[in-house]
Amino acid sequence: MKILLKTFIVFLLLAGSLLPYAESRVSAEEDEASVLVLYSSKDKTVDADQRLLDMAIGAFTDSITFKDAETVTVEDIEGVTHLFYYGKVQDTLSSNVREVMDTFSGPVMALGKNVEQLGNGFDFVKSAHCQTITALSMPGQPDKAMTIEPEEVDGIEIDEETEVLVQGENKTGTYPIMVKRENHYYYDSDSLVPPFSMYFSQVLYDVFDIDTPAGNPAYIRLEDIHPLADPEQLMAVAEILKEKEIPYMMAVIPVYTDPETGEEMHFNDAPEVLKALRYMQKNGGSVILHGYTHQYRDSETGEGFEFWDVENDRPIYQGQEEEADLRRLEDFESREAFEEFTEENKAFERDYIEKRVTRGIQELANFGLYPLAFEAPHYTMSQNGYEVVSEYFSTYVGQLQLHDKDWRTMETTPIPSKPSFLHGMQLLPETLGYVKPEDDKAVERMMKQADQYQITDGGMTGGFYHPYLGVERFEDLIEGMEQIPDVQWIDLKEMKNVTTAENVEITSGDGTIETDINQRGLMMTSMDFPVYHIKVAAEKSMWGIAGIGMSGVVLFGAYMTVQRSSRKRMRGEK
Amino acid sequence: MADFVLYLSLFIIWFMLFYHMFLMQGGYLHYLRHPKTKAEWEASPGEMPFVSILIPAHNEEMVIAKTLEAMAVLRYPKEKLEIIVINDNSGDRTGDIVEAWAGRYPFIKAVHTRPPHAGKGKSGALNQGLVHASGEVIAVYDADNTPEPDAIYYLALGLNNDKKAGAIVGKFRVLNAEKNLLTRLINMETLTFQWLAQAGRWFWFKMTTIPGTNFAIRREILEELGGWDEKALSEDTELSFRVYNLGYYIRFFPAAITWEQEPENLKVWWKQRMRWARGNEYVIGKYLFRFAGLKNKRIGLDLFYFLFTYLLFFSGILLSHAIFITNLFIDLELSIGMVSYILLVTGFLLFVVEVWLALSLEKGQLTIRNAGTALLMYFTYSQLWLALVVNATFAEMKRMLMKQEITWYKTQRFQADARKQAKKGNQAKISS
Repeated sequence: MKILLKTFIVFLLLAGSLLPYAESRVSAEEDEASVLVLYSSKDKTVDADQRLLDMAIGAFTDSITFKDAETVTVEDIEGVTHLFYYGKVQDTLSSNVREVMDTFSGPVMALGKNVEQLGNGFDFVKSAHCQTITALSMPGQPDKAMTIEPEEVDGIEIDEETEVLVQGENKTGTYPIMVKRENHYYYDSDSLVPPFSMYFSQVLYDVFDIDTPAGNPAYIRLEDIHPLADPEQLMAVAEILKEKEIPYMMAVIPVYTDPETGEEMHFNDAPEVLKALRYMQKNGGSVILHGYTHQYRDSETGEGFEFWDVENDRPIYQGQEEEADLRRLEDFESREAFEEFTEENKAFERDYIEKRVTRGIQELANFGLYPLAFEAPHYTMSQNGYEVVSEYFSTYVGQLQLHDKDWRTMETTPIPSKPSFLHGMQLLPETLGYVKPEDDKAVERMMKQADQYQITDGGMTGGFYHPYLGVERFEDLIEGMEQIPDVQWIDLKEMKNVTTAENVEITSGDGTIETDINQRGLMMTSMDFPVYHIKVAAEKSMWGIAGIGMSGVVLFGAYMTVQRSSRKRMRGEK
Repeated sequence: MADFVLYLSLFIIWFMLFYHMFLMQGGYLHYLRHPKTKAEWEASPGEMPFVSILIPAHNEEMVIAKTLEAMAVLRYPKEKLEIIVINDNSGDRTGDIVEAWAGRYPFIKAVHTRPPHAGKGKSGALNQGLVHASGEVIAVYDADNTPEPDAIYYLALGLNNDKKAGAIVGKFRVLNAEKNLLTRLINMETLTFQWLAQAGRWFWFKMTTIPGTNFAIRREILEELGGWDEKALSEDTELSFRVYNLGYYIRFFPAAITWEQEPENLKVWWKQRMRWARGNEYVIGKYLFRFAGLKNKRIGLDLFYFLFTYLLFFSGILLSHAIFITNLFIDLELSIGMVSYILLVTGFLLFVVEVWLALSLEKGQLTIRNAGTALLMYFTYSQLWLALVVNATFAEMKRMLMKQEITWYKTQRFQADARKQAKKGNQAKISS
């Protein structure tokens, strides 16, 4: 019996000594937050709203799982560190949801409807009257207040122990919007678009227990640079940025397609533009692949959509010359037949994107331009498209299209993020828009927006500019952006980016770009690639030839002069 | 595509121009070095050989007397000299004139050929003359040539002192250079050719092409080779190749000078140059496919040079001309840009300065007038050559395909005042 006791004590001691180790393992795992999002939505699938949440959470972790609340079981919270519930529609939740909520001990955030069914943890939230608010603020943080367009919220009642993180205001008073009790957070809105998203993201720092960063990241992107761009304007803009030591991005389109003739122009046809781009890449600029032609069918480069069939408002499911097959589910004999049709379409789209992205990366790499990120033309891309692109790029710049039904449904998010629907790509969100040619107050408007994005600490202020608008307006924009307090210009080259396509691998980090290019493989890919290098070599050697030729002229001219003068001398002597 | 063609043609053209630059450099160095060699050999001339001069003459009544006049005053031991005029089936008074001179000078002999052993062109006539020649050295002059008195002496001196030289080639000057623009251009062309191509090749490769006149060759070599190739239109180039192939070289010795008449109108010029061009193409055809069998691979250099000049260089120029003209009317979207103009200007300047340098190597030739004419030459005379080579190439291809017999065109001679002028020039030269 004594022996048993002793053994037990030893065992306890041993276990005790192991305990801190076990704890530290747990906390190490906690660093990598793992999020489970339960949702109640109209058609039980992840859609635009869920993806907005995905984008917000993606700033804090890249481990995000979405699950229809109806299907959740207690097993699903295993390994989960943060639990979200997003009630987009009124619904009767299953007892499983309540069980999960009661079981889960980590931070929980609930948004929107059905909060009363989420168990004891949320009983501090009582629904009240619906209100229209015209301003948002965060108690105790006077710098985080802003007036907004009137917005209706459901309205909640809380007791004194509940902490108000964000409140809405109108003429009659203040109303809690985001509240917290212990580690339960509730957001009394289902809106995740700006300006609400800025507050939501700010609260997420608290949810994930992460210190807010100092400084405001910003970027400027020079848009739609294709072979027909004006090299002088590019250089003028480049010089300004170089002088100011501002790193920047260049959204480059490798091919310009003439809408009239269908004729293509590549960068080898525009050596001056290419020279300017190389200079820019060397002096602060980072190349982003902005599609291959930035057009589809007979539209013009820079105008057209490349990865979206705007005519039929759907992804690219047919060749440029082909008639679109618009059959719907009801046109098919069976669901299987329709699904097969859908799979074929997706396979077509995959192939289409793969070809263009591969060719785009290869072509630019062959010209010595190394794209570090991707930006879809007009930000339009299907969910399938993002998955395909993620196989080539680690970084995506711009805004995101949220579903495949309407290209106009696109949104941004305040903080760089890795939403699950980007399949590992990091999004560098564009938040400011661009200088519209016809808008005299464009810069002013963008700066106002930049100001708003500072509601979120570390909120990105990223905007873009078309270099063809000239230097003057660009200077206005840059000067405006320089006014952003504690502005931190994003340098893609300082970030770790990986771009891969067949025979080409581009990586960046610490301010440099590393390339691993299988030259032989690349040259075998397309005749155009070696032909370009041969031409460059030929042109260079032409200068060499001219140089040698000229030295011959000088040399023989000298002989001739010597000869003439010696003859004169001889004549003189005679 | 147009880009590719343009670059290709530019590479070919400039490859050739660089080769010419290289040769011009060699020519100039030879010019500087040559007087020393000449002086050394003059100090120890050795035992002078017996020289037979062959002068093929077919209807040369206009010029043959003047030629023999110059031959008669050659400064060479007369007991070691014979001058054989091959009166090759002439229908004019050539035979009579030669007989008259032969009567006066014992060392002048006439060989009259009659069909079927006659009228087969220069090669045939030379082979006929060779049968009658007894010298250990055979020299050849065209019937319109007036060698300077020391010419034969220098040719013999060269062979005496340079045992490896199978043949020795002198320099020729143009008698009627001042006659008209064409003869002035030809004069500049011959000077440049001799200093650039002949002297240059001699300096770098110990190779010179026998020019058909004013050269001497060892008899034993001729016999070993079986005389001249009667099928060759340019028997001189052809003979040069065979001499090289025996392992000898052909020396360029500019001390031996002859004066010759050049065509005074374009028609004659065209016919004469057609013969040369076609003849050279014949040589290319004859040796290119037997290259592996040649003993002296250095011939490859010359063969390659001819091949390059006649086929590639002119094709390159034609192509670049075609692109240039097409581009005036249709935008070929050439990417070459600025450098093409620089190349154009550089090429032109190189041409001009090479001509000028060659002129400066001859006393009294680098005049303002000649210098100016050189500027014009590029746009006129050189372009004429282009047309000529195209024409010759077609003719030669046609001949090869149809297996036609070749016909010899004997260069038409010009009477009178030009010769007087030339003689004046000649005498002035001798006296200076």
